[in-house]
Amino acid sequence: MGESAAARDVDPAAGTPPSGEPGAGTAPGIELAGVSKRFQLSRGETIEALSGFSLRLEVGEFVAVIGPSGCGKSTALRLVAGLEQPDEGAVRLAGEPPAAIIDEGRLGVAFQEHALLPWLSVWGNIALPFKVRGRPVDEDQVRSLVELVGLTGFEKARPKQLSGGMRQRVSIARALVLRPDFLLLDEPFGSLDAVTRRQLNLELQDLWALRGITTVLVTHSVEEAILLADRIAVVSGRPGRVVLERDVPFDRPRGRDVEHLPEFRSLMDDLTTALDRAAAMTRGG
Amino acid sequence: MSDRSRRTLLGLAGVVLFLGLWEVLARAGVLGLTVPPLSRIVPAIGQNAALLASAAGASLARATAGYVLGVGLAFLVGVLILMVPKLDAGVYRLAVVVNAIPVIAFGSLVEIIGLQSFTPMIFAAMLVFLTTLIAVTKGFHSGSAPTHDVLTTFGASRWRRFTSLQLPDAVPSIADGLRIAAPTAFVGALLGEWFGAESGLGVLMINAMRNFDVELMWSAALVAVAISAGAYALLGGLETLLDRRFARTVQTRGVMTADVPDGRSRTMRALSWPTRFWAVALVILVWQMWISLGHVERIVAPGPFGVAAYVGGHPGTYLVQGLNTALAAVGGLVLGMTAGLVLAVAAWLSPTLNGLIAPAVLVIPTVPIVVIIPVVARLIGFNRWTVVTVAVLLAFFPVFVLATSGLRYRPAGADDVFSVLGASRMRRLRHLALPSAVPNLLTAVRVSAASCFLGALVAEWLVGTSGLGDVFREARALIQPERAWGAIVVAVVVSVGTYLAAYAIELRGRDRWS
Repeated sequence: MGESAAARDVDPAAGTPPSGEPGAGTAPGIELAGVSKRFQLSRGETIEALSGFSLRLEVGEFVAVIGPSGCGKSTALRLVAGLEQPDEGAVRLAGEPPAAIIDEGRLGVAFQEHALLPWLSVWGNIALPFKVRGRPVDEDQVRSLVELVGLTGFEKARPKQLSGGMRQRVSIARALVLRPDFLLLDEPFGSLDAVTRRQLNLELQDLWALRGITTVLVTHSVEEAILLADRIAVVSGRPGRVVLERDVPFDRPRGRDVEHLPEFRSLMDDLTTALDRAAAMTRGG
Repeated sequence: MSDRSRRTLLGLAGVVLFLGLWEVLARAGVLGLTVPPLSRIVPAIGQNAALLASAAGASLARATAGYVLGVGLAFLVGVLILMVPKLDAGVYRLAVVVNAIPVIAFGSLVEIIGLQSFTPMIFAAMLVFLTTLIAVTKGFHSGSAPTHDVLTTFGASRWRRFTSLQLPDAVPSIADGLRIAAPTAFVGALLGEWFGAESGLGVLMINAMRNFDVELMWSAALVAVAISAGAYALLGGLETLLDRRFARTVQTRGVMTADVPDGRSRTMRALSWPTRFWAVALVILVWQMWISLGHVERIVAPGPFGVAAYVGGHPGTYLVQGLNTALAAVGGLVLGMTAGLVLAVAAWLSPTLNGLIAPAVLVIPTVPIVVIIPVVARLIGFNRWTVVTVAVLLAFFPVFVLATSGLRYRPAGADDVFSVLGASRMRRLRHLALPSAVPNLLTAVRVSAASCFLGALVAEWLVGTSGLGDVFREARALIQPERAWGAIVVAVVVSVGTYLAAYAIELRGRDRWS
């Protein structure tokens, strides 16, 4: 459609140089600059998941990436997490490639599949990142996270004894336990029922925002994005790229009353319209 | 180079390396007189082509007949159990017990009944029957409950539900069972030939062993492995075809998983003894009736009570000899498991090593291990170490295969989490791969514990070192039927006990680790 620039009615990065180099004074938290990613299918066919994908997060900013299924938003997140390498363009976290940030243990992730280890307790799963990095377990930190995600009393329970919502709480606590500078969330509540999901959103919204962690949340729920994010990017595929970015103007903490504001409704309408268009493009492309 | 062609090349390199090492080491005489270099075995196959072909043909015919018979019976019994679910628990217990009866006892039994010339076919049928029955039963229960309910609400009859749902649902599992059963039929036929057949690869191997004709012995062993692998591959192809037609939703393909019973619910369900052990009681009853009604002489076969009385009267003999066998079995189990686990971990750590031994992982399930006991005996000598080595081999292969797949079976997404945490390969092994493999290792213990014991028994019988196997051989020779059959009863009890204990540990462990 070629109207991404026109649709970008808010550009929070305007006025800052587009440089991602450290020492520039305004080094962004996370930057994807003109990223392309192709995947090899069988019989030599390739599929272009991302093309010219650009997104920039300031330090401490919380950006939600929404888009229809198959638009490439999870691929973008995997690139930031260093789990995939871009074919073109660059991915930088605090001006460094993902591998460097991973080496320093500054990255936390939580996925739709909770990825908890079934043989470890809640406590063991949350403390796991310390062991994996060969560091002594900071018991106070683990305890405070158990408390923060509301699992006090369940420290010894094992994942299969927990509900889906509780497992995701553990998964999020594990992502935060090393006090990361960057947090990547890929549909962390995607497998939960609507009621649990909403409740977790309300409860946990400040967990990352107030800690000043630069956060990317991939979701296909517009409500979730508005409730949690400072800014929302709409991705259309395929190949995926950002077609719209909107600031979320509401004060924190955001309660249920936010949903009754007229601004909420109009933002919701805009994003839903953009999503519908993106869905049509993704299917067509 | 693509990943696929690289793997193929590495695999080929592994095969070449293995064959090359064999040739070089054997030529240098490092492996002793009993392992000739390949360059002497291959011509020997050519020279003995006619002999080997007729032996292989005879064995193959018996194996095929037994295979067809065993599969047919398993299918009939499987359908019967499905229609009369109450029989389920009892038949499963019986299968466990029959599995625990040492082959040497079956050999003698078939001889007593007077069906000696059919021994290889009966052996093949029996081993095939057990493998297939478990696959068939598992298959019938693999369908989804909602689909079953939908059909029931449509008013579909019992028979209609069976033909339009349960049967197609069972196809992948049955195909899996048919594939795994193929080498089993061959093992059965060759083992059966030890008990008085005049031709066949099994006879050829035993005779070559006794005559110290090592080239012929290895020729026969290699031909046996090749046929076994061929049958496995052929039925693997059939399975792939069937899979395409009856798309499986649940991954059932897997080595030696067919005998994992759907145990927990069954154990819980069948808490009352009569439902669990009616079939075992039936066997004892039939045994007694055969003795009393058929007026079988004590010399030919003793009754169950005579045997029980003899065992009760000589507890010391059986305790000492049982411990002898158990010690060899446990030693072999521990050594074999350690070696299997170490190799699997090494392959996990080194992609190159993994590529080199990939063909071995494919071939191992097809190797008829019990059948190569004569080769081991010739190799190690007629002593206790042969018994231990047989147990080592019986434990090593399943542990290696199951550990290899266990190390690669991880909770969804866990790999990504470890990558993002920057985990080193060793920490990934320690905190992710090894704990993930625990359930599979427990399965490996269950699969190999009893088979190590029974394998040790067969080895003792063949090489004549002290233990329950030798008690049986000696007592048969001296015509002491109670003493002989007492050894078998003790062996069955120990082996069933081992299996059930290992199974209980496995269930607990699986519960804890997954």
